[in-house]
Amino acid sequence: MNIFGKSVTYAFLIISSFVFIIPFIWMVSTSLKEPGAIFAFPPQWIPDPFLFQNYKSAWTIAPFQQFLENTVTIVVLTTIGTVISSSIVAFGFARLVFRGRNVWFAILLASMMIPYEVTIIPLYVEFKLLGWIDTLRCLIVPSFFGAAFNIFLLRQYFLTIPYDLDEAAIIDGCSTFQVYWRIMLPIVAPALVTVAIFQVMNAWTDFMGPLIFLNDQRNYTLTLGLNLFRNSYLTEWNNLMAIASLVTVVPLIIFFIGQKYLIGGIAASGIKG
Amino acid sequence: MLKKMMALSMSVIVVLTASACSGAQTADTSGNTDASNNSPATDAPKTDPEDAPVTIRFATWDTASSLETYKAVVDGFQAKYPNIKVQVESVPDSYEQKIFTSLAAGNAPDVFLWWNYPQLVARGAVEPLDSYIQSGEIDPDQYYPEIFNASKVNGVLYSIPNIPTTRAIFYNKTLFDKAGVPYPKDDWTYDDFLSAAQKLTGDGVYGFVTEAKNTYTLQQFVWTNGGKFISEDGKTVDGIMNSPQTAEALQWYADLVNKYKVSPSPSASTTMGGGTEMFKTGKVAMFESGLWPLNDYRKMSNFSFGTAMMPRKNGKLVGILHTSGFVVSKTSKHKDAAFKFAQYMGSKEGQTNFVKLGFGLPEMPAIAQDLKTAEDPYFRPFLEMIKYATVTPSYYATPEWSKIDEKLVYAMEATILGKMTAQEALNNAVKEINTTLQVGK
Amino acid sequence: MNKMTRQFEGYSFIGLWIIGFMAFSLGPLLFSLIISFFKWSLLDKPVFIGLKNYIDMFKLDPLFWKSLKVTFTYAVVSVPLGLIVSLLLAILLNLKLKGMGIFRTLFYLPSVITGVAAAVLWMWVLQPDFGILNYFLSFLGIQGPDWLGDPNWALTSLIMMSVWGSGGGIVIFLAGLQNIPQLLYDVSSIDGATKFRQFRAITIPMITPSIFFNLIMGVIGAFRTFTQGYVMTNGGPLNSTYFYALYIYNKAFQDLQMGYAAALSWILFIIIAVLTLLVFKTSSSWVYYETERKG
Repeated sequence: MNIFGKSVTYAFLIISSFVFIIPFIWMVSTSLKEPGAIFAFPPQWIPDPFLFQNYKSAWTIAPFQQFLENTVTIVVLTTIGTVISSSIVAFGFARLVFRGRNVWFAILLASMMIPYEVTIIPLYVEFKLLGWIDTLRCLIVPSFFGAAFNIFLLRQYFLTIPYDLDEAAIIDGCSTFQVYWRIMLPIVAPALVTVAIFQVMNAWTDFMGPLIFLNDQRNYTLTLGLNLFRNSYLTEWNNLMAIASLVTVVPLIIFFIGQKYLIGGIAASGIKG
Repeated sequence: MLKKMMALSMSVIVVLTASACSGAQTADTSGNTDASNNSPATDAPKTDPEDAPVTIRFATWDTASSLETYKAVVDGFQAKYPNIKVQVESVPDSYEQKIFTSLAAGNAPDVFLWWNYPQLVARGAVEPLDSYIQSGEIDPDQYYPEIFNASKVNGVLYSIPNIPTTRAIFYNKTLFDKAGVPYPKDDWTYDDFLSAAQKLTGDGVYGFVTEAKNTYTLQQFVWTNGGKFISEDGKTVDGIMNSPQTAEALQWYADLVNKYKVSPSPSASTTMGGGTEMFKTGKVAMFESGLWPLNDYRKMSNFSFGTAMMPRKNGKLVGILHTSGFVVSKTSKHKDAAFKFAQYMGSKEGQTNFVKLGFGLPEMPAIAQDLKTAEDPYFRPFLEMIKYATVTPSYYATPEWSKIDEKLVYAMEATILGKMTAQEALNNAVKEINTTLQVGK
Repeated sequence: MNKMTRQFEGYSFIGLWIIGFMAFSLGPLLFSLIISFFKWSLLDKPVFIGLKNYIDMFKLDPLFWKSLKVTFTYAVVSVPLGLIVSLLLAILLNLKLKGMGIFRTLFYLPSVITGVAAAVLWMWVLQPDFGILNYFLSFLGIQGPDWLGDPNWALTSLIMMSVWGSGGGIVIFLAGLQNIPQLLYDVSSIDGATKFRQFRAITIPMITPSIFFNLIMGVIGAFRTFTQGYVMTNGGPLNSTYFYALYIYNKAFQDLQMGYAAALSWILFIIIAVLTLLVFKTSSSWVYYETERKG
């Protein structure tokens, strides 16, 4: 590309990324302002003074420490759950031959179309019968049974591995499970990371699930905690933005570290619908 | 974080699969039981023997930042009943919804704040408390009768009253002085109010702030104008909700935004934190509210403000009372402990704390005398307004009020946004209310 | 290996998902269908009322139609808009230039904070008097509207916000673009094809599977929109952002009309199923597939 083309491209990228990024700057800037400066017009971009204690005070207005612990519990357990279970199932679909496999796989694909909203009422009733309402179990346990999208993604990845590997391993005396665990898992590790990243982000930002299944504030997640501030009678924008910034930081870091895996993982799995 | 997490998940995979390789090929279920054991378990309270320590849960609609206030009162309770541990939960968002679903799920808080008793009673969700009057544990004579009776539905007591409040005007003295507007007097009129609001509006300051969706607040203007929303028996809205008097009152309220422009648009006021915050930040010179923010304002240095009675129209004034109370859930496993807590919260001891903190008005004469509330210039207009709270709020008329209110809110919003005249909007509401009540029945 | 062992082995691997599917998807789905024929508040016993929920919905419930209209409008505008923006950005980001990693992160950033954090952030951005959007518009001499407070603008605001958050689509497109063999471009360059021609003849056809994927995900996502409506506008003003999913939620958990809400959710399921089928049916005419890999 010539210099001209390059500079036009860069200019366009810079301007449009500015549009994408400016709300964040605004968020962080607001989070550091004193209450009086929030409603200044024209807006004050650089807070004066910088009130870093907003973060501390916002964090202690509600038991955010507890919300963080709950969120991390959910994120860690569901990620472990979905990585293990989805890879087991995906292995079955990709590497084993048995009757009914294709039918089940078609059902799996179709099940991705079932919206959460349709099942949430019966799920609520089901969890109520199990005595799980208002516990983190409602949000954690289902992840241990594989998620359709993740299974699909991992299956595509498993398919790319040459069959000779399995055969060689079986001749060496490996059981099928050992083939899955010893041979295949290390090879699909990048795809596992992709799945893990998706899961961390989903679990971290999930709102509807916690909103419906959790009541007691002790069990709140960060997103519900953030929602606590959003009360029509009391809108503390600096505190609200402080918490919003903190909530954003984690997925941001994960994306920054994992973007190579994200794009690579999807590309390798060859999403083609 | 990611690395740690991956390491962690990998190590779990190792543990799981190690056991799987050594025989059983289905590692499937082990993952599952693991998760349910590890997740922070809800220790379902067991039925304890007498006097054994119990924990009860109490829910409030106040924001989490108010939990400290509750803690002071709860500490007082726990000093008295060391065996009853109380866990306070703040549910400031969709409070009613959360309480209903937790009732349905059978894990409602043992004690919770409530205001719309008919709705709750119709769903069979609360414990009647009459037996405690008979046993002498509740003394009705302690309370102001208007307030105590508001806790009853069809003559049966369902709650221990909590600090009530009337609604009155907060005004910013500095802004009044700057605009050269005299402070409101007890007998000021709608005209006085409007001209003050107009003079105070300008330079990023609004004279007043309306609430687009608060039909409860709107009631006092409707009543003052001789209108109503619903018949006493709760069965008719036609000709009442859309009567000329009701429509005129709503139109006047909406005109404050659209015609006189003394109030910000609904969304603008929401994002500025509503009246409470706008008043604090000097964005609005007057606003109409319960007593709740008083203590906050008092604590601010260099903030000069006053409180005043609501204005009168043609010499008439009807105010509104907010009442609420502590109810005991029908599904509570520790009803006695729950009652003791509710009783304490509503007792002189508990309530004195709330009144001191400016959460509301005294609910019994004894507290008013002790704290000399009548002498407090900020409290006085609110206390005066009690005499004018002469009409029963609409929700007492029917347990279905919340569904009717949905349509009324729409009409109110449409009028304030200037999409319809009050009369048109209310006519529509009346039409829709009759159909809505059949849907899903 | 004999047939029986094979069957057993296969099902012991996928069995986990089958159990989960029965317990958390299919079971609830069917249960939802059953309770849609009942009147049930959760607090009392369900009462069978046949098709009444469905009949009421179509005949008596203006909010049902309103929320459908809101949701369709949102889907029809936001999905194509999001596709175009994310495809364009993905193509730019796929250029081999310095600093692309940073740009990728910047564009992807918004989609990282979906949900409540994004919602509260945008409430603040869209604030009519102190928000930055109207501040920037004022430079252009435009008096910005009362975005979320004006029934004519509220849905538009949420569509803008969804385009802003379309970074997830960028990732899929980037992956698709990286899958296109460089060889195709090299060969066509030798044949003297222009950049534009290459874009039309190679990039677009090769990326159609990703477009297809994003289209389906986008449509499903649009029909499930909930958080924005719940957090930012509560369906208002004047129900102009009353999304269908929000209506289901309110009917179920606010009015405790579980049967009616289940009936509503089944209509949603049917709509999504029909739309997905439509996209699938038409896909053979515009989605280009490489020969399928065989395992």
